[in-house]
Amino acid sequence: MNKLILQKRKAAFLLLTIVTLSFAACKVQLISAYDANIHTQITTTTTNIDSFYTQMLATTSSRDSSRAYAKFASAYADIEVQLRTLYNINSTRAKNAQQDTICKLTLSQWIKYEAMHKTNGTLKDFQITLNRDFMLAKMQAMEVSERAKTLGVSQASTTNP
Amino acid sequence: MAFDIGAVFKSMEGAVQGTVTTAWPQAQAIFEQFEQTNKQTLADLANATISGEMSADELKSYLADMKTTLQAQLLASEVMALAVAQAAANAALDVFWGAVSAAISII
Repeated sequence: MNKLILQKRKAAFLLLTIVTLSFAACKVQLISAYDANIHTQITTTTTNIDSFYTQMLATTSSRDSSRAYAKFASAYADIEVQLRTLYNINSTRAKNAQQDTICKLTLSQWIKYEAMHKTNGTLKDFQITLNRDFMLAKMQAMEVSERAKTLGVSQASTTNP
Repeated sequence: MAFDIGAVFKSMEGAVQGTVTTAWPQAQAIFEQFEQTNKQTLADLANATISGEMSADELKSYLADMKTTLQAQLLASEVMALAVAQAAANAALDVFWGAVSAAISII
């Protein structure tokens, strides 16, 4: 009789251990995990956009043909590809709806500004400044949405028993 | 007693508080970055409007861009809030399962 009770206790203990270990491995996941490669890609694209507009403003003028759309078409296409890559990567990540939308808004804005340049043939100085401001603001939001995924992570790990 | 649920809950509360308290200044710094960006953008927008360089249609178009910029910043803030909530929940769960594991090893 005592042997039977002992066996039952052992089985219960084993079950409790298995349940505890399986639940202990579970983590709450509300957002996609931080990705250092994507973060680097975002900062590289941001630098390229900043450089594109700053160079245009510093080295060309709306009074002559130096700022003609044709001279920048290739650079517009390069950055559009970088932004579309970021959008495609982010749209396939699970629990990433917010960043996916930010990427979509950023890509749409880039296409809009390219069309503005193409339609007018050139850009005025204030248009370059504002296009740069709005593009960099969107890129900042995108960068923050990736960097934010590390918030509280180190603190959480220090609380591990 | 091997498992004191009161003490465990207190430790879990401490883990949540610790995570949120440490993450808050980082979140605040990000909000300040957004604020600086918006100030600069609105100043450039105001300058172009005041100088008379910008047409009404152009202003309307840029104001639409401001709207989507604020939308992007709010979405990034949402990610921040979710990240902190996730870290806090996991910190509390780590404490809980740590206490349960310790109780099992005592049994």
